[in-house]
Amino acid sequence: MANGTDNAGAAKVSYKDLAPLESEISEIMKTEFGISFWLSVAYFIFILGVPILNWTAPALMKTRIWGGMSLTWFLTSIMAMVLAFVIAWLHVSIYQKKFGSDIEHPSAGQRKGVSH
Amino acid sequence: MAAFFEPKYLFTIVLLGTIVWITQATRKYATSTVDYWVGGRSFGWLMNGSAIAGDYLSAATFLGLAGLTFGLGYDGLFYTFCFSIGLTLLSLFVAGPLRRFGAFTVPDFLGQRFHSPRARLVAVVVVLSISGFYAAPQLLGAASILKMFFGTSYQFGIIFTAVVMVFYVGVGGMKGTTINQALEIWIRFLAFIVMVLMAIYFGMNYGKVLELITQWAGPIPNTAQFAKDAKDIVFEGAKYEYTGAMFKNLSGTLSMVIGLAFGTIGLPHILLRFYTNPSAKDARYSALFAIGVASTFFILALYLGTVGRYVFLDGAQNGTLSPETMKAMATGGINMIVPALAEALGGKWLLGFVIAGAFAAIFSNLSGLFIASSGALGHDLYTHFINPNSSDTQRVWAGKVSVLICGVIYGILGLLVEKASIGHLVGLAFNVAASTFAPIFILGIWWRGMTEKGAIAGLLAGLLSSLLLIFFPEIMPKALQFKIPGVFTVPLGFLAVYIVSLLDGQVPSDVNEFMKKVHAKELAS
Repeated sequence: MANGTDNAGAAKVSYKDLAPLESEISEIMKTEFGISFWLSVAYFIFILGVPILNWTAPALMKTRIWGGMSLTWFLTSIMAMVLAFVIAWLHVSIYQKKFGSDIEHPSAGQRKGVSH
Repeated sequence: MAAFFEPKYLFTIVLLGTIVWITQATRKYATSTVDYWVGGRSFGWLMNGSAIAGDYLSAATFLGLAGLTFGLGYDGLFYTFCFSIGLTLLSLFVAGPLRRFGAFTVPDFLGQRFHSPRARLVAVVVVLSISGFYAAPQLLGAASILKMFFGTSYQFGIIFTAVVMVFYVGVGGMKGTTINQALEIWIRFLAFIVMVLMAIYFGMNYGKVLELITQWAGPIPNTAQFAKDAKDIVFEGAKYEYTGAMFKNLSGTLSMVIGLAFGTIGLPHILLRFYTNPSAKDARYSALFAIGVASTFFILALYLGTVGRYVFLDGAQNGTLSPETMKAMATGGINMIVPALAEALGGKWLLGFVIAGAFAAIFSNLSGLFIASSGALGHDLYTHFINPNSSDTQRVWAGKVSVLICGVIYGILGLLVEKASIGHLVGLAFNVAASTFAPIFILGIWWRGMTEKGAIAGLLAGLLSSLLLIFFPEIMPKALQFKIPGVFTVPLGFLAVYIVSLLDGQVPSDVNEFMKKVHAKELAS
């Protein structure tokens, strides 16, 4: 019915009997996931912290801080956008620092027509 | 004839002419499947990052976010805040590995990860559902804008936009679509930059703007003629600067955050853009660049929405606004605020540029949806089910025919949703994406234990629970009826994948090779 890699009869194996991953791949996955996980934890503390504080500590969040803005106005309209970029930038920077040195890229001339 | 020399006609015609030129110039690159579906995987981070931002920032963001801030104040900011989270999560967990996987469409991920035609087929249904829920309100928005600024009928607006999209995507393929999307985001960005510079030039800094707004309490002069009860519209600045206008409780607010944040991870038209980079490094930098563009865009939109409120109050108080601008701001709805502010700040020329920007937003977002859904039909259904032995040329033609089919289906959907709420439909698309593909991609990329049955269970649980809780919220207690029920449906999607996979326990025998493919260091070419 289907072609190529969609083979309904492809072999399956019990998860318990699955061979362990190569140690290098396992290490890369652990490190990469660790970077993403801890950055997202930090990000979610901010993301969930703003609405929770809005509903539980209105006096604090209404404090005027700068340019006539309340604390929550600043966090929501400016800080959140800056943080979205900073978190993503930290992720790319740390990843490239840890794993990027071994990566070579196709030159511009080789890019065209690359297919997998 | 003289009307066509008005700036709004001139800018729109120039935009359409440029789209036609780019599409024609790139049609020669749409002759093989790898060119047609993923642009030959040739786009660097600048081009693809721009296109991702163009895909993500629809007309609802270009016109709607500033309009919501004008109307709701802080809750308009908070709605934007929810939209700003998703791309970052996508870049943390999905962007790089997805490019390493390197397929054509979103259902390819399931089809190849589990060697499963069933999983691919369910994924096709989910892609079509998400894209349909998203495309219908975009068409509705396009028809409304055409009606507002050019006086055309709703039906004409739908048909015109669908025809432009069929040409744009069907002829240009991914190459033409990407270049058009990249151009269109910078048109919108430039429009916002010009508006912000004009506002700063007129001395409307945040401090001055917020001072007038927050101290205002009472009727707005000269607005009685626009009110149904013939009394001046009342505005309370103290309420404007804090939550409560749209978000009524903490649980509903958190549900919106979860639904919109995870929704971006599961949007098919955003996900497949990462297949078009030459490497995972480019995919990561594309995501980073798109986040930079989107974040800046959001900051500008929120500032302009606040400036709009200031201009309205100050203009009404001092009688400095034209009657047309007063009417647009008082009764035009959220989509009229950016155009009305553009006219107030820069006259007809800036208004014309903003109208072209609105069309650019609609076209770039819709074209992404057309690519994603036509891929599900032309690549996943045709190539994998209908004619597996087809030639490359036949597959490209299947793609072009699928674009035409999508144009007809979306056109009909657009005609059916004339009275629907744009926000409701977009929210539905985000919630379905958050509850279906977000769990599938996060767990599928990072957990070897995910099984075919777990994936299918997750897709079905996420899709059905989203539809149920959005269309029939009354089945929940009053306190738990949310516009975006992500707080229930997203964990349900994750749990369904996890629990069914544990119970099933049968993983593909080559899952270790899959993990190596998507996580190993990139090799030199």
